[in-house]
Amino acid sequence: MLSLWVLASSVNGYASSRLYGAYDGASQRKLVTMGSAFLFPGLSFSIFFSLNFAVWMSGSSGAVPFTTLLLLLFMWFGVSVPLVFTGAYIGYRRKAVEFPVRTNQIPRQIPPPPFNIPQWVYIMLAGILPFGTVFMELVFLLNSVAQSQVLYVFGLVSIVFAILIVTCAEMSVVFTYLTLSNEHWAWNWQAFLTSAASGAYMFAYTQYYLYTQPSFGTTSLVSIMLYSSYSLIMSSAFALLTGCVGYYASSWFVFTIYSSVKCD
Amino acid sequence: MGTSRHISLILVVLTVACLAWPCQGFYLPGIAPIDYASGAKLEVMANKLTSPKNQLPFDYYSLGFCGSEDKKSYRSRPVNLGQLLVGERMKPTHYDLAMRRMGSCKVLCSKTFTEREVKMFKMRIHQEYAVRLNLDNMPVVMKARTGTGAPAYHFGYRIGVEQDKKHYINNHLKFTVLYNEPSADGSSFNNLELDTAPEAGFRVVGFEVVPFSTAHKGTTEAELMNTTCPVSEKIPPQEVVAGKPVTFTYDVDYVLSSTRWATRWDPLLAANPELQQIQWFSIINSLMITLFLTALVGTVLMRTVLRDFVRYNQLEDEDEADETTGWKLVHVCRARYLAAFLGNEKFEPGVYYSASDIFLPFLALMFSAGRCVPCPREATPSSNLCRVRCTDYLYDYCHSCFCAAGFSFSCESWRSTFRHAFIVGSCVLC
Repeated sequence: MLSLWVLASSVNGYASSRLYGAYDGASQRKLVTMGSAFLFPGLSFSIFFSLNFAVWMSGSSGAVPFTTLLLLLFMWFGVSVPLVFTGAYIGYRRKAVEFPVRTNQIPRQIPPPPFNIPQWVYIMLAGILPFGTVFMELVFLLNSVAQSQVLYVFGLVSIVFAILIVTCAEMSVVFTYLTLSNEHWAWNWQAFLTSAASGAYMFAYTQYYLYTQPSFGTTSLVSIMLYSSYSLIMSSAFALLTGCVGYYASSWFVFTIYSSVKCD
Repeated sequence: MGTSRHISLILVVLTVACLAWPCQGFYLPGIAPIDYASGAKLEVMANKLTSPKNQLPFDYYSLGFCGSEDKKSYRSRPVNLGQLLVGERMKPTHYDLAMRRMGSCKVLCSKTFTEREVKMFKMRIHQEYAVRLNLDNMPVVMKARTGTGAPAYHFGYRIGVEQDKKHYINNHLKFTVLYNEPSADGSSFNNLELDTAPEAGFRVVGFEVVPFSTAHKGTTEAELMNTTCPVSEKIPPQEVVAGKPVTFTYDVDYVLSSTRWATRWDPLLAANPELQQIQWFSIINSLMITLFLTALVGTVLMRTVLRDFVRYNQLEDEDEADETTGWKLVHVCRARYLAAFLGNEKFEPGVYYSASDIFLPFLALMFSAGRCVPCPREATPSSNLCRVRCTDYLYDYCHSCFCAAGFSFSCESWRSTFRHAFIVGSCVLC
């Protein structure tokens, strides 16, 4: 699994460069590529290293030995980052995605939203549904962690994953359509955040689960830190996944409806 | 085209390569079954101590078990990266197990704990830590039954029990090794397995344990034979105290099992049947929600498209004002309109050729751009009039735009009005 994650960094670089090429494409290439190589892995690694230090201080055997840490660092800097750059290089060389219609240079003023409901309310509401689809699996996952039992449900999880993808895509499309109907043309971040908000709910639920455990009062601080940090990493990865799916679905939707306009 | 050609070429090359050379397969390390002859030594490896209440694992030899006094010689065997990251180790133990050689009350060691060791034991027992051992990569499990009678397995056995503020240690273990004899089973599947020793090979397919806390009265096997062996629950438990010797003992029993080596993990991984039912229910629930969402998206789009189609049809016939709001605006055609007006002579007669036509489209775009959407309906008559003319211009503008763009064949047909409904997008992006 680790090697799969490392190899997937090339897809990371390619996807980010293609996306950037579709919008701006020239001025900030270095920043975009470095960001995609270092942002999320950097956060995960720094959390992991500080957690490891805390675990080592408490004398647990769960602390990863120093040589393994060096190996992990090598896997990141030596393999993952060059793969990201390679993927980005290939992505930049390809022809950029063209918009079906011209864009205006002067941004139009965005009218106030209907009933004056701010945008973040829609985003928080939209996050509930994708979270609801994975909620049951999350409960079983946390239960199995708490009871140290093995959960072997790959078939069911893959079905739930397919349902999750479809739900995220549709939620994002619906909300993007509503946004455009309100002449709010800045749909990009909205499309990403509507689906990504489910990660926030996932994190909230893992913390709620922790506090409602009967053994909460007697658990050590390091153990709570370990649990919370790993659930943070898991929730942010989930948010990135769902946000990405939602964003691509929305951009496909927008491109489709605008390319049926034959004006120019 | 180019990529599909490349892919087919690669596939052809791979197929030829697979068929051309005879392959010699090999098992990856750790995946091949190990055959033990009768009497062959079975190695019990100590993994870690885990607790359901705590996320931190601890080393087996961090407590005062047999062999912990000489930590340096108990280095872990090499494990792969994933196991290392989750804190799994393979440390040797002194358990003397031989395939199909039963044992009873075998003494592991007799130890006297120091105060510090007693303190550590009490802390770990209080935190409900369990010992994880491995035999031939099978974890030691405690078998139990669920409420419905299905077997359930717990990984590892508890170090000890706390009762009435006293801490009792599980110093006697009753091991049951389940083994399978592949040569006795004449099924064709087994005959395909490589490296089968047909005569005397036995494979480990299960490793179960039942822990006991027994206050042994002696330290050697001879002494135990007369007193506390065989171990049962009637014997009083062993308390963790410093200064007095504690004897660690174990029994070994070998049971022939019909579980094949390839499926030896299945009983441990099989989920609770109730659990499966709940999961299926939640999946169907999510599926319903997804279908509802799909219906919603489809309905919204269909209604919008049809509504615009009907509205633009009515506009053409009745030539009346209608508040075009939202994304139903034309922006991008502005430049085309101007260019057409100034340079193109092929306009439809319906377009107004007055001098104010240069400015009014801009006004049209401004007013009917929905900036007045939140405005109250009782707008001033002038703006209303303006709006009337604006939307009028708007429609003609669009129509002429399309006609000038070369869709003259469909100018009068419903297709152009259908496309009008989708002009919106350009307005928002433009």
